[in-house]
Amino acid sequence: MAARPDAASRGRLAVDLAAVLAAARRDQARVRLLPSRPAGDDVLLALTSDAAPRAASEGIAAWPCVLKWSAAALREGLRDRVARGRRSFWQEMYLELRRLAGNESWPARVREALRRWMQHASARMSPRVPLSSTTFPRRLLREPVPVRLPAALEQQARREAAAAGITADGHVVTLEIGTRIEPFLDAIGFLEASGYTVVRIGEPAAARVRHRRVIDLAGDAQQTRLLELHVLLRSAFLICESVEVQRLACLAGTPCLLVNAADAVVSYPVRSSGLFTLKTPVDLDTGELLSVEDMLTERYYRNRRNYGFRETTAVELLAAVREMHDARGRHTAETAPQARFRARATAAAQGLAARVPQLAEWGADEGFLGDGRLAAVQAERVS
Amino acid sequence: MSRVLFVMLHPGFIRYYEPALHAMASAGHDVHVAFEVTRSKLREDAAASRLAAASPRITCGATPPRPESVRLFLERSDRSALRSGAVPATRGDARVEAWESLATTVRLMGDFLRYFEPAFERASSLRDRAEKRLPRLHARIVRLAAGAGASARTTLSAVLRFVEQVIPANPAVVAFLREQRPDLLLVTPLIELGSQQVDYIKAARQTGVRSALAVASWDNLTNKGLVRVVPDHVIVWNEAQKAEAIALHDVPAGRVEVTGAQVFDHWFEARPSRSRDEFCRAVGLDPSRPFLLYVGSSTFIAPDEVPFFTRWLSRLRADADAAVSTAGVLVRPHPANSRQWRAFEAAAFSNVAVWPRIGTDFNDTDFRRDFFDSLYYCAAVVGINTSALLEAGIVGRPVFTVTVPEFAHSQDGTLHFQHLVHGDSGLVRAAASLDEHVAQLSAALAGEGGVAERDRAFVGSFIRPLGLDRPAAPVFARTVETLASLPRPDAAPEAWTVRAARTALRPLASLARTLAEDRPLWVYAARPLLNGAVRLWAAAASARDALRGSVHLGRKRSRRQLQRAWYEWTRQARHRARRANKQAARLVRGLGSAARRVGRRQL
Repeated sequence: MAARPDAASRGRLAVDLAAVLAAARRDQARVRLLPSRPAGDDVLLALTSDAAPRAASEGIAAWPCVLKWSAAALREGLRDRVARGRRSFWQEMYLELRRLAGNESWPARVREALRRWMQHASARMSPRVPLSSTTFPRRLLREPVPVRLPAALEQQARREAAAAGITADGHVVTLEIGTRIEPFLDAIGFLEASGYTVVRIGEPAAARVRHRRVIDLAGDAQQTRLLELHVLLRSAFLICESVEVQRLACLAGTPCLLVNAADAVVSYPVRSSGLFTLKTPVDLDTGELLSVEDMLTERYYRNRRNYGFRETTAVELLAAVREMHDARGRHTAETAPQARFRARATAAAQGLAARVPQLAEWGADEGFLGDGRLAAVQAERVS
Repeated sequence: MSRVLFVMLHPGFIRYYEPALHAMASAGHDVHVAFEVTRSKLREDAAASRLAAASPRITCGATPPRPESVRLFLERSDRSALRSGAVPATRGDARVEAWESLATTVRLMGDFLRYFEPAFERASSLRDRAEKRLPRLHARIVRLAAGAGASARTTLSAVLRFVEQVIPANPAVVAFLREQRPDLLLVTPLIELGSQQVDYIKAARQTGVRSALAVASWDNLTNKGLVRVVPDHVIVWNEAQKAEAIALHDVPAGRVEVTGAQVFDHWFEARPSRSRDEFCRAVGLDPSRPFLLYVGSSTFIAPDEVPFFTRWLSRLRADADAAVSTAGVLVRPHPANSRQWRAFEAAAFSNVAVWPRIGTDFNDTDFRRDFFDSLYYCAAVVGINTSALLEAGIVGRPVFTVTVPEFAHSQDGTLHFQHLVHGDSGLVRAAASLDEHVAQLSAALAGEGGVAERDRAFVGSFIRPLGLDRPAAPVFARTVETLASLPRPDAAPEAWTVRAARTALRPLASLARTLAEDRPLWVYAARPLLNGAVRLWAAAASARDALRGSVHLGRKRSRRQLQRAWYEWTRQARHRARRANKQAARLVRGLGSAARRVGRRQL
């Protein structure tokens, strides 16, 4: 099975890699990764899996595959261009017909016919499915494919981890924070009390964490992509604020708690080990707070610039982290509100996919949004 | 006494000149302020009413309406706008509209082109903003020329300047100027992207009126458009702006007048309206702790300011220095960018307040007083890039900023920011990281690192270059008075070459109007065919309708005629029958009487 993962971002690359590994396992095929443009994250691309072994990606042996891929890519590119051209044509026709239909000096019959054609053009200018075929294969990613670093990189990563003070035997929780550390402090205290070593990765935007059992790699010279991935691979679970990192965890097979998500559909965890919390949107015109249900409406997706957000509170964060810790390594049944929210989110994802491009790309996959859940503390607010 | 016509884009510009206008009116000059567009976003229209009510010598009104505006030009390319096939009312209107479209096109192209000059190398956001206003085809032409090197850029610039010279001033503007007959025409801001105020300068030349550009604010000459047609005079705040006018807008040095920043005069005399304790209690801060004032920036400078502020505050609260971590923080949102602060929950932090309340009237007298109190009682001021930093400097508070990647476009990416942070003479202490910034704040809260003399020198050179004790508004008013008293320049008749070139460029004007729609080129090619087909169809439909109508009418008439004929015939028949009946009856009666007579004779 050949693939050229999209390396535009780390998250996208992680999803593509996870998908190709899952597809190869399903088809019992070997994976041949063709070089990405632009060049992707070398460490991610180096990941291997026993369930989907890698085939050589370079040299003469890879040529037929590269040629076949190039031909297919060319064909798809052409198809894409034609589709875009057709869409553009109907859009322009729609505008022209609308202009002509506005001329009141013409007979009513002509204007009515022009309006009918306008509707016809309008129906053709918005495709029912996205032009690109980069939908999020949620069904395929439902079960993780175990991945590991090649031996040499693993050795190097262990050395880097030891240098950073991460012991080989401890239970690790990885933490990635966007802006503020304060709401996480209680949760960090709980994790410390539960015997975890918390390793913070990511950007150094928020202040440094000064706790006895917290290793803050954010912005540190010791933080490398390899060390980040190594920590992620061996973590009991990940707490993150970025969807990109959530997708990285999806590839690594690490259970993930995504906090402060602004989108209930796109961020919905695929696997049953996944949990997430939502920010609270604020209508910037009125100052009113939106409910969790409001986040599943078309109005919300269409007016995103009209909303500001309030972060998940420290109390809710602590509850979500507890839930994550309690669910670790065992299957826990989801609560009725959680099930209700999943049903609503899935219905919204399906209903809005035709009208919201973002949901067409990252929403439900043939009616499946994910086995994950909204943190119980927030799900209780869903009526 | 002289008569001054002051053309402003909208009433929001009044606040920059209000004291100066009062000073001019007090000196006995008549001032008419004309606004191109109305604006009520921040209740600017109230400022116009207040100004007009202040003195009988000041009047306010609108400029003459124009068939085309930059807004309309931009709306035409808006694909989501609902518009019908409306066409200009008359042939004359269509011509004026076409010239104005060409003018806007040429000006927007020139404005976009300027951001490829070496001085604007890092101004990517300003460049993008200018590009967004242009139809894609025109943007592509400018990018092509800009990419081809300095000579191509110069050539395109020369072509645009030539076309600008050929474009006639709007006839309504010329008529307006003739009607007003001012001794001096003042225009502000003139440098908006694609500004139509250029026509006032052209019309002033044409009618022999002295003209001057009043530069409203410190960022005007570097982050907007070009002064396309140089007026007789340019009034600026300081020597730095004078240098910008000369270097970036080709204004001859002799035409530039430096008057100081009249908009800030009131800060020099202002006094706090209450005690520090009262103020802190009113806003909800702990009076026993010093507080930092965070001043918000405009939408363009800081579109997403709240996440940065939250991060900044988080860093402050986590600092080892208790003076920093426990200091109060007062947020003063930018009046035009306050909406986003509704998402910020000050109650989630200790000793933090947002003030004034979001939605407070910007024109309220308390608004300025409260802001002064905030500046006066704070220990230091922090902001991204805003005029409030200058105001803090005037009040004598240390001013800080931190350069962060999310605001690179509005800090290092703008030229006016460099005035604030310029080497050792800048007003604002800029830090390259949050850690460095917090260390600076820590020193400021401890009363160390004072550079009051340097700040004073900056205020002296940037705000009041003619002397710290000399208010700028009277200087501005006197400068205007002097300019208005100068002899009128001769009216400049148009050369025959310009008129000839105008005739040649007329098709270009029509083309500019069409191309402003920003459609793919095939649409313009297909449009005549489509228009023709629909016209033919409409004509055929009309003819068929007319024919149907006439046949229907004919049938109706025939039916009516038949009905009438039948009616007439039956009426006559009835009439005849009646007459025949009468005659028969008469005959019967005659026969009867004859019979009776015969009978009597026989008896």
